Amino acid sequence: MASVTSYNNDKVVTGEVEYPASDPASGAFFQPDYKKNEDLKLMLDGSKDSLKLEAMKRIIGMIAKGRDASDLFPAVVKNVVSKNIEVKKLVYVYLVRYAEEQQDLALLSISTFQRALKDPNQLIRASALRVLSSIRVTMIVPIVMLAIRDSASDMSPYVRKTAAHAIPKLYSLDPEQKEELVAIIDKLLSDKAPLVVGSAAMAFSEVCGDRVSLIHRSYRKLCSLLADVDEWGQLALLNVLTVYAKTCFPDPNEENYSSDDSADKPFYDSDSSGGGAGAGGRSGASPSVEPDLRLLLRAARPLLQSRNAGVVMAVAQLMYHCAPAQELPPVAKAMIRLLRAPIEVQSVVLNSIAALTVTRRSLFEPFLKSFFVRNSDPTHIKLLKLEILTNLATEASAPVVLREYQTYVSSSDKAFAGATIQAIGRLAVAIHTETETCLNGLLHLLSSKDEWVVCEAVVVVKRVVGGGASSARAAVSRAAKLLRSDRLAANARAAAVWLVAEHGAKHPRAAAVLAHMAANFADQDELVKLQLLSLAVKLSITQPDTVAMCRYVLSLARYDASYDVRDRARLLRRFVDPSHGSLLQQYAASIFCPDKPKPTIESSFKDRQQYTVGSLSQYIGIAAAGYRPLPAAPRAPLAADLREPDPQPAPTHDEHQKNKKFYSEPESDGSGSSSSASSSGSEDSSDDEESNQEDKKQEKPTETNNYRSSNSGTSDSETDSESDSSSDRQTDSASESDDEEKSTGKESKVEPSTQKPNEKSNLELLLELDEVASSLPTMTPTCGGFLSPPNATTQAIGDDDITPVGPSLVPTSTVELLSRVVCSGLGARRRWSRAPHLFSHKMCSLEIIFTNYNSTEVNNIRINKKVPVSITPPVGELVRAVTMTTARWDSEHRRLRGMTECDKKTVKLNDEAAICKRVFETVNVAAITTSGELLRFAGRMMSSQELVLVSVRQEDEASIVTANCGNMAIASLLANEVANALKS
Amino acid sequence: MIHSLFIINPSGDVFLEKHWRSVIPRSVCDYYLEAQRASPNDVPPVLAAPHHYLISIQRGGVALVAVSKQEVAPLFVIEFLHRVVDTFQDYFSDCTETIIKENYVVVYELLDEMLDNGFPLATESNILKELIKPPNILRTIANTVTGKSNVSSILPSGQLSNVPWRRSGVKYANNEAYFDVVEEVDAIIDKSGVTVSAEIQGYIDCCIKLSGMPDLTLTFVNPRLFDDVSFHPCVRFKRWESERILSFIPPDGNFRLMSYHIGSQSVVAIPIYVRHNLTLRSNGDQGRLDLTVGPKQTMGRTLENVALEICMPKCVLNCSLTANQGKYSYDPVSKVLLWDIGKIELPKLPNIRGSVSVAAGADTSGANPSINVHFTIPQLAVSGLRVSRLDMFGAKYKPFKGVKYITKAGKFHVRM
Repeated sequence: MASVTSYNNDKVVTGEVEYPASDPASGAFFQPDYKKNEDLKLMLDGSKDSLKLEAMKRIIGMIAKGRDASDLFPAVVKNVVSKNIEVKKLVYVYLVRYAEEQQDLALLSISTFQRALKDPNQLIRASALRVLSSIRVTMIVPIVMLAIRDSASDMSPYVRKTAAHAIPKLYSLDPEQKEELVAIIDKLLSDKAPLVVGSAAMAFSEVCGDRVSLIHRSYRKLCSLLADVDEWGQLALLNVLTVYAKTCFPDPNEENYSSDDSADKPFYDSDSSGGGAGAGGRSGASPSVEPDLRLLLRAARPLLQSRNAGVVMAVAQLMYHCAPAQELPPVAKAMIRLLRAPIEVQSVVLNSIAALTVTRRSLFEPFLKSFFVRNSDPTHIKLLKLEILTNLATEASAPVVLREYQTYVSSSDKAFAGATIQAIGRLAVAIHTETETCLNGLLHLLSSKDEWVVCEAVVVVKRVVGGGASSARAAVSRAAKLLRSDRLAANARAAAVWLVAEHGAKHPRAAAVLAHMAANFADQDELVKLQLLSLAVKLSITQPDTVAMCRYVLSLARYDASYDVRDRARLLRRFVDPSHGSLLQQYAASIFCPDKPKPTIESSFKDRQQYTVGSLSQYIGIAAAGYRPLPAAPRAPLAADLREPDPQPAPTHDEHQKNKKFYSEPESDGSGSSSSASSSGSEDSSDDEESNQEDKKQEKPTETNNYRSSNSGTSDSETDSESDSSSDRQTDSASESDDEEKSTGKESKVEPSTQKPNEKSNLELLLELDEVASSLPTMTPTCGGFLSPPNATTQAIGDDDITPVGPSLVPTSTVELLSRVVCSGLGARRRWSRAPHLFSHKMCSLEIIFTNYNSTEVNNIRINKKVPVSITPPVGELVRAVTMTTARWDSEHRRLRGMTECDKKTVKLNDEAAICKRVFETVNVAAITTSGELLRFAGRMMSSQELVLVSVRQEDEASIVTANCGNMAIASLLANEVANALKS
Repeated sequence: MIHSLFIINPSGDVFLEKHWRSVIPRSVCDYYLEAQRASPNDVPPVLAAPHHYLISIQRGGVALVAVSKQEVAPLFVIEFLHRVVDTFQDYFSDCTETIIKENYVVVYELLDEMLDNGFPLATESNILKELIKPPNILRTIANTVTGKSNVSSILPSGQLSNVPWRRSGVKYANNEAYFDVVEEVDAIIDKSGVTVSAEIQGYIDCCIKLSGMPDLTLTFVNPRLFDDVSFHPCVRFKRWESERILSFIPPDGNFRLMSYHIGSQSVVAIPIYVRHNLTLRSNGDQGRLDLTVGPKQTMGRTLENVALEICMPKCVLNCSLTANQGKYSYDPVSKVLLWDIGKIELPKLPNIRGSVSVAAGADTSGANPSINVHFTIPQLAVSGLRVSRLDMFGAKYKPFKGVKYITKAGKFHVRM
């Protein structure tokens, strides 16, 4: 970057910059905004740090205010190399903000970060990774991937933490990297530093929250680290562990759980023991808690004392969903403590409590007084408290609660007063001993001077009385009195008339009410008129002497202005007028005065229980985007041995080879009938993986397999994304190899990941070119447009003398796909057959061999439980052998020089045949020249049809492997693999 | 996770925005502003917009609105936003619109350091202050002269150690440790003077300026009093559980060591009483108000900074009162009567009486205002809590130690 500074020195720009604004000619023409940016540009181009800093501060100010500063991008990005740390930081801020909009220019800065990634100062390494991964430019995905992988094994835990943070960023940029990222998350989760673990848990839940199998191994360690993680990490970790505990441990309440309302909990099967034991009637024996679950609960409990409300809530969530019911009181206590926190916290906590009190009333009963409402509370808090008070009220506490309600009713906050009246109504229905008191109170409210209160009260009374409470008569006479006084608003009056009609049909006062109302029928509201009509008809049935009055009302209604009223009158007339057949009159009583069921008034928080306690979804009452419900608890615990920490580290490649031999022995016995099933699965995990990652991938399925088999049937619903999908019936023919179709369409995404840090010669070389824009395209071979590499011309040259040939060598070694342990004696092995695929030339064939290790015969093999397997082709299998003339090879080779070439030094082998054999084993290429100084091989990528040229040059000390391919990532991968193959 | 943060001033302008992921247009704040316009003091902290979720807090006259695109624990966001405001207050001694605007560069650097991709990175004040020096005049001058900057280039060692809350290399000439035991009484007293509910919310705030790595233990005379406690992360929970001793390595400077709650189960002494009599419409448009305040169960201490705040019913137009002590003011717009009494010296009881004018024809029934009472009692912890001793290990010097007790009114309501 020295060139930039020298360039600036030439210009010698100092403080006395002439602002273009002073130029009247341009000033009249350009926007004032534009002029300002122009002067910022000059300041940034200058050599003085203080000026640059000033300019950057102003630019940050613009960003902060939301103004567009994107036109300054080139000027700002140059300063990414600034020595001044504050300027640098501000440039980073700018870069992250605008990189997405100026992708090409953003690439200029990448090499700086790459260099900084190797800085001895851990803070600089970390911040470089942080900024690099925050730049949302798809082109740099491979670079970020590489950086994350390196940093994940950095010495400094701080850098590893940053790597964990970078994982979700890369995932959101390119979800296809998932598999590789999951492997890194797996590694970070088993990190020993508490600093790292919290962030790893965060990354886990962002990227692959459903893969609980990753947690098994580090579960116990995570539990013990929980206390040492920082509070935000605790939050993330608790969420992860809650999901884990829910998935792996049976519900400790399952056996002897008795909720206040067990019918409301669909996922607690209450068939085992009668749920009707009643509240507090828990059996004395404490439910058995899995030792591993106990470990978690014990680790989480102290966190209830955290100062961070979020952590407390996360613990509450864990305890509520996973702990035995008798351990919950401390949780309630801690939640009560949060009520002293700021209003926003209160609101969320009260919301959760409101949902909890619907079923677990006893939990919060001792804290009834903490929910008393103060005048100074905001309305939504008042309403929440009211809801909780109503849920909590029992026969014992109802008098206290009602006394409070009395105060609330006269609150000046109308919404709150109204809600209180509703709450009194609910109380009246829920607590039978208090029905009388409540109703009296409500009726008392009917004579309140505040019209609004009266309206609300009538409506509630109407609801409470609904099915005929004993005090209906009192209600009716009160309502009748009110109606006579003519003080009610229209809808209240309608409700009062309804009340009289519904319950006072036999009441002597009712006729008087009707007479009074009929006197000024014309002045009544439409709603009231309709109610009056039904009152009149009902009375005519129960008190036959009022029929005349009923006719009068009906005839008044007949000439009403509203057609609704006229219609209703016409309808009802049939019941009163004797001239029209007696059939209607016969049934009039059962039509107008039936027995109605009592209405139930429920808490509006009832449906919020289905959401996880303390989640956003619970607060807003609907499932938020990205909300994952907790899984249902399994019936039986998962085998604890999954959680035993690994005795030895992951097996190396050599061990793996040995395993292979060991396992292939039984196959040669030929003991059972080996059959093959053709599984045309759509493989999700077609991300190509480097070979050394394969070991890990091999383990993981087995781990998951154990979990599946011990848990068969219960958790079929959640499937790992890598599971095969379907199978055909078993075929009789013994070992017929069918093809597994394998989409290689994505193969161009192969990362230059196999490169070890010190060997990324080409890629790095490329990224060092930072100021010459013309070299930019070379970085991005996979994207189209002007950025596409020159290899586009290779197609045009013509493929006439490049002909595909069969594989030079078909590897015979097979890899275990399914352990025979998993599928009760049936094993499967796989092999890359290198045969051309029937369906498409873009697919490669996979041979799967099923072997029966049992002594008995196996019939009718099918997939009824899903076992995740991972099949990732090594890059060498994505190539098809082609042949061409040596001259053509040379000309193609020249075309693919430069950045599409990758060299690798390896040990010298003298036997050319041996070299060829090893090359063939690794890559499916054809030999062009098999002797001499330079051994040439050629192939073609299956998906992109790009040429792949591999050559081995013998030198004095060593041999050099060169791979050329339009996709430079493939080239570097191939060179690596071939070099490794020659070494071994 | 938090995608973006907007800071909004009372007039509804977004004056600062920061995005940790892709840019979210500020128009998303309209949902918040709409809710705020509907009811200014009653905005739910979580709002659901069609594609985003807005989680907001209001402090110091500004609103911080965090935007998330997916499910996130609301308390996590709220807690973080409060931590942001705390940090601003720590850095700039206040958090208002003008101060944020003046320091937007530091604010931006802080926000960048505190959150990475929407997940908190460093929130401990001790660590942040090592990464980004708080601005002050002296440093600004020094930086201009020497060309140094406010931004550190090395990782604070605390970040990696087991005590991430404490910065390293602390050195003081005078080593001091001060503890303030503050108790707030929350109570609701009903019309007839009966205590409906009473709780004590206490906290221990520390100002600790000790060199090196001191290890402190604080013991109480009567630790059984606590109903429920929460601690700063520095407190060793194991020792609290087994011995009821606070053992900790303190952060440097001011921090809240613990807060506790003494709940409704235990009896709480109410140190003040208010005798009140409000009749609206005794004769014509005039009502009468008569208030007397007196101490009760104060254990011999005096009540100070006593003030009464009454939110009058809407029908009250004005008040003409005479107080035998202190000053009163009535705001006819917000209908708030404020009576600032000051210290209550015993035999004389403060009293205020006079007439209130009521709007003619207004409905006066059912109006029941409540009195918010404020007071402080120095040198008393109303729960009876006492610190027994403070011991220090791990350092050679003898520090100066001090404990101060104070009782305040929290949410103290008297219903009329």
